[in-house]
Formats: sequence, C-alpha cells, structure tokens
Amino acid sequence: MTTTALEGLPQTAVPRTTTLSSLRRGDDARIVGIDVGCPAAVMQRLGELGFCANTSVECLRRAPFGSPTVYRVGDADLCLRRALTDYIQVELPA
Amino acid sequence: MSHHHDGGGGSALNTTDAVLALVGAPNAGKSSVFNRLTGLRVRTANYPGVTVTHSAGTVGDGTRSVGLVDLPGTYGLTPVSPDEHVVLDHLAGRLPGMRAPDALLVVVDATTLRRSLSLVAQAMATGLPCAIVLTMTDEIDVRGGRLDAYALSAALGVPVYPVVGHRGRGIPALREGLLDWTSWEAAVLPPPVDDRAELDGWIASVLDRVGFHAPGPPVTSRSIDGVLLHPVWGLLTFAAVMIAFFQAIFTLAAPLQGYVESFFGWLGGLAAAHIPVPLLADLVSTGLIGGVGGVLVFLPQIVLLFTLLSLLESVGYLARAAVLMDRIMAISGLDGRAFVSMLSSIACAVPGIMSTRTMPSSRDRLATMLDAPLMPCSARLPVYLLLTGLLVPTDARWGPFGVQGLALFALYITGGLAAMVVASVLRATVLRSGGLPFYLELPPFRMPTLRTVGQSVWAPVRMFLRKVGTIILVANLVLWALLTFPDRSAETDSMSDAAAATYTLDHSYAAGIGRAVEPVFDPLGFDWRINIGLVSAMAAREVFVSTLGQVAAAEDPENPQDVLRTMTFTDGDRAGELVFTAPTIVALLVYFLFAMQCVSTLAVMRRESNSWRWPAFSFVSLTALAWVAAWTARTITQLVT
Repeated sequence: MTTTALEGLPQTAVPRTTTLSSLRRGDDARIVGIDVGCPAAVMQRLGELGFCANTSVECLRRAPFGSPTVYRVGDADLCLRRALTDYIQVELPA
Repeated sequence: MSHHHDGGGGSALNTTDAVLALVGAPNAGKSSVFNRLTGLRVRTANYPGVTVTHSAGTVGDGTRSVGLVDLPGTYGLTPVSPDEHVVLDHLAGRLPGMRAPDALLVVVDATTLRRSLSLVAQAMATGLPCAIVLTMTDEIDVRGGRLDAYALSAALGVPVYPVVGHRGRGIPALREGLLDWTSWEAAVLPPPVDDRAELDGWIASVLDRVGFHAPGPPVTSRSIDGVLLHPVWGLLTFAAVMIAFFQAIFTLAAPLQGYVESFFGWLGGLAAAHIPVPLLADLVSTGLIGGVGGVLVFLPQIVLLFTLLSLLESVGYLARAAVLMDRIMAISGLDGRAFVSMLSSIACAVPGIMSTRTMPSSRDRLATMLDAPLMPCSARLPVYLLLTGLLVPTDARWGPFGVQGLALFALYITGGLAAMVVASVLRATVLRSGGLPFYLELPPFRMPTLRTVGQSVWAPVRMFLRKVGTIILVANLVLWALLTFPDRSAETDSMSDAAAATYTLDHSYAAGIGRAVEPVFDPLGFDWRINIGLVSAMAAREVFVSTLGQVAAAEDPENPQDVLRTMTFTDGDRAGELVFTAPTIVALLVYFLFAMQCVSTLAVMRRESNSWRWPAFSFVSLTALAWVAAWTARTITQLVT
C-alpha cells in the first residue's frame, strides 16, 4: 500500500501539449502553434484557415472510415486529413 | 449593349471597361453575388494552359458598365499550389492577353469574419482599390452574432456593402457602388501581411474596433451532421441519396433521351422522304439531323445531373458526401470530392467530366477526368448485352444467379476498379501532387434558391452546346462520310435497301480503315467487319450494335445476334471459320471495357482540360491498355476452353 500516499496527492494541473490528430471526439484544445517541419505554404494556408496560435479548437467528429476529422476552429467547421492535423500543435487543458 | 467574344483567355469583357475582380473564400457566397450582378451573360473559361476556371461578365446600369471577373475561391492570396499561382499571375497582370483587374471586390462571409480578415488584409496589401461585400448578414443575426457594416467600413477605410446574396437584398446598392469604383481608395497604410503575428494583431484590433460578436455555432446544422456523418445513419443516408440520384438520372433522363432520339429519327425520316437525291437525303437525315440529335441527346442527362448536383451542393450535402467518401477515395490518391464525378460517369462520361469543375485542385481534376472513360457508362450496356448474349445462353445459371447477369456485374465492377487503379497510377506518376493535403470546409446547411440552381445548370448546358456540340457534330459528320463514301449508288441501284446498305458499307472508307487495321486487331480475333464496328462506335459506343447488324446484313440491324452467331471470316487463312468464338467475344468485351471509344468524351475532355494533350493521352493509353487486356483475356479463354 505504498502508493496510496502518492494517489492521495493533488494532481498538479499541467496542460498537456500534443498534436491536433490525437484529440478525441468532444475534446477542446487551444492551438499553440504549427510544427516547424511544416512546409511554408502549408503553414500559410493553415493560418488563413483560422489555425492561428491562441485560437480554440474542438474535435467534432471523425468520418465513418476513420478519416478525415471535422474540427470547429474559429467560426467554421473544417475537415482535415491526418497529414495536416499532425502539424498543428495544441494544448489540452489539464 | 455589351459585346461578348471568346478569346484565348476567355474574356467576355468590353475592352474599354474597367475590370474588377471578385475574390473570396469557398462557401462565402461569391458565385451567388456574381450571378446576381452579372445575370446570364457570363463566360466561364480556363486560364491559359491549366485546368482552373474563372468566369467573366459585365455589370451595368444602362449608361455605365464595368467588367467583373469571378476568380476561383481561395482562403488567401499567397499561392500555395500551382493552381493558385495562375490566379495570382492574373491579379498581377502577368498572364498574356489578360489584363490585371483595376480593383478588388472581396466577398466576406459575416459569420466567419475573423478568418476572412486574412484575405481582406492580403487584398488591401496588393495596393489596388478595394471594397467588401458582406454576405450571410441574415445568418449572423439568426445565430446571435453582431456585425456593424458601417463600423467595419470605418475600421478598414474601404466601402462595405452588406447583402443577402441569395435573396438579392443589397444588390442594387452594391451595383451602384461597383459602377462608382473610382471613388474607392487604395489603403494608405497596408495591413502587415508578411508576419503572421503582426497580422493576428491587426485582425484583433479591427475586430475590437468594429465591436464584432461572433455568432454561435450553427446548432441545427450540427444536429443534422450528427446524423449525416454518423457511421451507420450517415452511410445509409449516403447510399439512399446516391441511389435516388441514379434512379432520377436513369428513370427521368432515359425516357427524355428516348424522345430526343425518336424526334430526330422522325425528322431524319421526314427529310429522307422529301429529298429526291439519295446521297443528299442521307447527308441531311443521317449526317446533319442525326448529328444534331447526337449532340442534343446528352442534354437531358446534363440538365438533370447538374440540377441534382447544384441542389446537393447549395444545400451543403456535397461537402458531407466528400467527407464520407474521402477515406475510400484516398486509396486511389484522390479525395472525397472526386467521388460524385466518378459516380456521375456511370451514367455518362460527358457530364461526369463536366462535373469535375467543382474540384479545386487541377491535378485531382485531371486525374478524375482521365478516369471517367473507364467508368461503365450507359452506352456500353447495349454492347455488353449483345456480346454476353452471344457468349452465354440466356438460361445458363450459376447457383441462384443468371450467368449473363453475373457477367454484366463483373464487367461493371471491373470498370469501376480499373478507374480507381488508373487514378492511383496517374496520381503517382504524371499527376504527382503539387497541392496541399485535403481540407474542406463544412458550410452550415442552407436552403438552395431556384436562381442559383438555374444558373448553375444553364452555364454547363450553354458551354456544352456551344463548345462541345460543335466538335461532336463535326466528328459525327466525318464518321458519316467514312461510312458512306465512296458513292456506290451506281452499283446498288437494283439492290434491296438492306443489301445496298451492306454493299455501301463494305466498300466504304470505313471498311478501308477496318481492313487497314486488321493486322493490329488480328491477334484479338477481330475481322475487318468488327473493325468497322469499332470505327463507328467512336460516334457512340452503342452504334457498334447497329453497325455490326448492317455489316452482317441482318434483317433487323438493331438485333443482329442470330446473324452474328453464324458469321464467318470472308478471307485470309481463317476463311470460313466462325468469327464470334468465345475467346473473340471475351476479347471484344474486355476491349470495350477499357477502350477510349467516344468522340464526345474526347471533345468534352479537350474543352475542360483546355488542350488536346489530355484527350490524346487518354485515347492512346486507354486503347493500348484495352488491346493488351483483350489479348490477355483472349489467351486465357483459349487456354480454358
């Protein structure tokens, strides 16, 4: 029963940084930025689509065959393939 | 009155008028605004050398007029794909024969203002005078948002015209504003577009000054999406929509096509009966009237297909269908948007190819166009029925299924699969991706208006009649001449009509071609008479049936089965042997499965891809593929029988 003490401790509220691809349905997150490995043109278009830092994003639903995924970003619903969402870094609230 | 002409760049504008360009994101209501402003006199054309279209029209009030060019929808003015480069070149006046616009009209969806301001900033940064059309102003109120057009105008320093595009509200004021475009001012201090962080700051400050309240999410659309994109209900609905789509095309268009055919048949008969010179009578009845009928017969399908597509598109369902099918289409290297075009090609490749103009990427569009001839179109059906009838007895069964039906099913499935394989080969080779990974906005569901639907049907119909119809007509006339000349009236004078028809055909230029290509098709078992059928099938695949009937001197050329069963080689070392043996029939079926045998498809491909290169490529490669596949199928059949 040595772990009881640890489990009893309050969890430190640290937001978790991940990519948009790992969001599950219903998850809300805040966009942190775009991966540096992202080609400049793609980065440009993601910005124009509303994937800007500090914007909130919600994972709405995945298409029946597992791809693509529909997200609410800014004021619009957009669907993206994993190839794009892998570039988008988000922060999940603790 | 405005004067229209079709130049290489597809200009439909007065040379003296100023030209304004309409820019805006997809789904922002751009085409609705464009159609309201310009009416029906619109030209849609490709940019030189690429498969990206733009439309041009004229806006006037009787005394003044300006040209308006509708650019492809875009989220930004920094080109991220080869397609967008062309648009940018147009804006900068770098395209030969196309002048740069004098001012920009940015269409902004009020419900997505935050995102749209990126585009506004980029438009203002071009240094051209700008104005904004604010659309969806009714929707933002309904969804509890707020946007003051005057405040936006003041904050940006450019005129802002709020409209409800589909209802026409605000359009008169917008038209006045356009004609008075010289009073628009270029931005004194262009927005900072080079640095994303600075741009975000600029956007935030504009939103702040305007007092913008973002609308809530579209609640109704969300719950509809819950059903339409559901793993079970979504796919069921999709299947139901697609079945209804097809039922409509087959059950409504097919009888209409029948009427068109019988009307032109009647008219041709009338002409033939009243023109005393036989050759002239044949030219008028078969060549001209038959040729015009051969063009107009496509209209019911085109009108119906575009009506349904436009309804599905303006409601917002097409975007959902693309989401549902994207994973499957990804196998072939295409995306979900290609699905509906490929499906349309099952009815006929001509409207299928025309429907690719909704696809944003020119490479995807070309790949889809090049696939279309492989889809099992309805003109193949009479040929398949004739040949499977020759191959398999009507009562042959395999378990509970008729073998003829199974053979047909196999032909359809193989055609569809071949299209997918060819698409993936094309996307991996000549059409390797130069664009962005797939992304698509799901607009809220909206009620379509009669006007929008009407205009999106009218444009392709007009294009088809003017641009494709002429090519089809000329091609049909050439084919008629090949099947009719040289003139044999002296020899056939004393023959019966059927015998005369056979004699003329047997000694025609087409027969010459049939004999000339005999060495090519001999390994497939085709004799020169089958080759005549292949030549005539270029007019439309189903013509193969009646030509074979004619060449075999069948009493009823539309049902030549019995005569063909006993047809033998006329000369060569196989003289006297049966022509239609099982290996030859299989080879012929497989040949029809793959071969690019339709001048109408080639014509529409030429028109939509803006070059003869792609139809030529399609013709050569698919014919070669068909030959190899037919030879393989024949060899295998010979081994097993």
